[in-house]
Amino acid sequence: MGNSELTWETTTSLNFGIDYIFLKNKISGSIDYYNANTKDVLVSRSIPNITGFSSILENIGEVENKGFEFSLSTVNVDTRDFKWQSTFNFSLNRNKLVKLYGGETDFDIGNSWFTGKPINSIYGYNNLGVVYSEEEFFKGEVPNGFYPGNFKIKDIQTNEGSATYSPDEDRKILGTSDPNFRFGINNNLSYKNFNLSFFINSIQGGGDFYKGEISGFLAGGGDYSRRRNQSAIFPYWRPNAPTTDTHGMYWSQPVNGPLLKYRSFVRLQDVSLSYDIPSGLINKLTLKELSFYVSGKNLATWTNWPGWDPEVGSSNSPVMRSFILGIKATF
Amino acid sequence: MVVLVTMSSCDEDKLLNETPLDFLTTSNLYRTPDDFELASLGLYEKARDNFYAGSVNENSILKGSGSDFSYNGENPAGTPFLSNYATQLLPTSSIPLYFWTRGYQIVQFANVLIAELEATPIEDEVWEGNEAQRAILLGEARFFRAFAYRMLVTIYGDVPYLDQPVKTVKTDFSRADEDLIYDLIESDFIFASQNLPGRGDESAPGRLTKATASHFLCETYIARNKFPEAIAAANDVIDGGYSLMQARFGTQLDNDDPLLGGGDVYYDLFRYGNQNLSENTEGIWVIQFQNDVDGGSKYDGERMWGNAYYRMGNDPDGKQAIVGDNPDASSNIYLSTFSRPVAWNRSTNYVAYDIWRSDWNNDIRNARHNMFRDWRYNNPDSPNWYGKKIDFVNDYPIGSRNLVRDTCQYIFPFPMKAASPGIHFTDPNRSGGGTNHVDQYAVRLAETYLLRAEAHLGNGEKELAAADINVVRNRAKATPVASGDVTLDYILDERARELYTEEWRLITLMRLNLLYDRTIMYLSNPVAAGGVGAGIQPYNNLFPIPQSEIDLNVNGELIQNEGY
Repeated sequence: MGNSELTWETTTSLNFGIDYIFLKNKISGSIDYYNANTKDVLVSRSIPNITGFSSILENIGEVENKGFEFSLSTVNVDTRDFKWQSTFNFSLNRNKLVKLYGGETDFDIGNSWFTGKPINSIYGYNNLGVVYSEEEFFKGEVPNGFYPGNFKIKDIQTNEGSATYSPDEDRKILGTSDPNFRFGINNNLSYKNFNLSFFINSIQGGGDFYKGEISGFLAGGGDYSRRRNQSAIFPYWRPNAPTTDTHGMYWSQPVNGPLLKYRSFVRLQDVSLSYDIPSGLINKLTLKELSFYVSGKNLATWTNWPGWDPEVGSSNSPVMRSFILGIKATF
Repeated sequence: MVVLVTMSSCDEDKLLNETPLDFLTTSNLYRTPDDFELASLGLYEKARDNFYAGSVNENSILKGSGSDFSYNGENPAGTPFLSNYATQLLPTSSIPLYFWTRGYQIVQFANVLIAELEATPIEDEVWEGNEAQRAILLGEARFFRAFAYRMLVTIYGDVPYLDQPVKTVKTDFSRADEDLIYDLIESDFIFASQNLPGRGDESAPGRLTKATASHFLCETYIARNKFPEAIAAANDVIDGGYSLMQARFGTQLDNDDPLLGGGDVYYDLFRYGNQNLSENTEGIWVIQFQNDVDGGSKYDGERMWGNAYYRMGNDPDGKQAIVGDNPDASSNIYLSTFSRPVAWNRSTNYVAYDIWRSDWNNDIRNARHNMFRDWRYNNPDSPNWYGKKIDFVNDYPIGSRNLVRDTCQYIFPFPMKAASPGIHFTDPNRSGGGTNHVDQYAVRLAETYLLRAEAHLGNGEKELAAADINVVRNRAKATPVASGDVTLDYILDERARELYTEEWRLITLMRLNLLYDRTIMYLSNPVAAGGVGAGIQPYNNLFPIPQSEIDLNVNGELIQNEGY
């Protein structure tokens, strides 16, 4: 659907920062604080399919982004043969929807937009992450239509006599996919003609932050979960081998919510080791410079995220790990 | 040093205005009759690809999967087809969203075309020399709007009423009384029946004619219990130059399949190349498929309706039971006849056996070449079994086979009308891979007779109803029905015999409020996850309004159907 009223986004922002250097450059860095307010945010808004369309581009509402960034570079060791520098970066951003459709509406469930909350909010039934057991089923503690091996969904509003779960009363904001904070550490070490650098990257969640949905990885009853052997990672609940946090084989349940886990990780992202051939040797080869290097990307990741990779989140493909061996020559 | 900085800005309004030069919008389309044609053809394509091409699960559901006609044979206990109403027909499920979205998409596109046509009256220079075309285009547009609303109102009940295109964001929809929608459907089908061309005058095969609109008008009147009007609409069809085919005909008379061993007029109705012929006086609206043409689509006939015989494994001597997956093998004949079915629809026992019992040997629709039941081992390297009829229970040691899979997926009666024996254009190593390009009947005269019979019955005229049913039965060489035996159930049985794989069983049962009763009685899925009748409840006679639509309708309230 076309929109003849599309216009620019406008952002007003306030920045405050300090750059510092101490001890003859041995310690340096910066601290920055920002507060940015964007009006007429250009977004793709989902609209009822009754219109014949599923979405439209619109300028809507007002978004606030504030946060702070911090970096610290140090020269840790500086001798004739051995040098070690490192840089530490930290950033934290908080995003909030200040106004929606001209301020009249507070929320739009279909688009997961709620004023006062981050734009990337997750909304739905509260999946508690544990499944009903056979004992609970036979004791009658299981809601109508649920069976052993189905996920427990929190019944937020308990009403006498009406259905246990209703879309209006039992769905809530479950968190956000935005990170809590990020940090990175870069190290550069050199010893004589050797040079080693490595970069550690991390995005952290916790609380309401950096949640991702893993429901897609749970083995379902269909073709794809068999082809991808998903049950090797998430074994099915079975009566003779019950699990607590994965569902049974034919798992459709009357009401379900997204199964969320944190995506926090620390990653050894870039490592590079190189050796420069001393100039005395290469001069005889009429080269100005000759060095060998080996480098790798995404060598190790430490995370509790059970999917392929925490940074890609719910996608079904991993992040590539690569190694490069090289020679660099300057003539 | 002094630096001087100047800034100027552009006129914002002019900067953001675009004149489309290489894509189509409503601002640069609708300038010539061809532009309007293009829009109308878009409606045909939407109808075909969303509801008739077959490869989408919801197509099977529309044609009776999960009700009294069929269930998924490949995966009878699982999703994606309806095996558990309690968990697959939730407001958050994909099935209700499919029909809702596709229906309203056609409504919007039709409304756009109708509005553009009404904005360009007959006197406008656009139509100079082509005045007749405008009425036909308006007829087509209004037909498709009614066609979409027929589906929406039958499946969901009261639905939002739109007769104008939506041009800006609208989020305050409400459900309109279904009588209002039915009034619109009636007036659209009536207009179409008056303005579309008559039989033989349409500009190309597959384009709409008066009779198509009158046929649907008849069904609409029946849904509203207006039986005399329904009979009149059916008369317009039956007297409009159509008649049932009675003798063999068509382009494939020299090409009867050797494995099927014969043919008859019913077989010829569904052979490649026979639907658009002018001698075919039975086809009323034929959906067009064309190989090797952009936009030609394909029909997943074998995939949908046939049994996966090639997966049955070995015979009791350990040799491959059915050979025919090697294009060079002389015993290839199974593959070229049956292609590669996937058992998406396994007929219920009602369709496979019950409806044929009274006329098993004489009803031509149950003949060997129309409903193939004669599955035999065909491996020449296995002399003990070669040529013997397959009998899972007695041939194999007890417990050595999964009998559910054997009867639901591997071997069951194959309705050859959905297949294209020996004629496939894609995937030559797999004889089409389960798809063919046979044009499909959306409306066939046999159904019109059965609709008129239903109207007569509703009008209290059992003799006239029996006479119409017997037109169909006489062609099929089945014993005529006595007027005292004509009931609604009998008519539904006759529809099953004549129209299995063609009719939108879901719509038929829902408009009669019989989805629950007939599913409980006839859905013989042995392992349906929902249990008997796949767990259907009386409130499932209407599907739920998709939850995402209720959520996105922020300025209005769409009240959910009862029970959900």
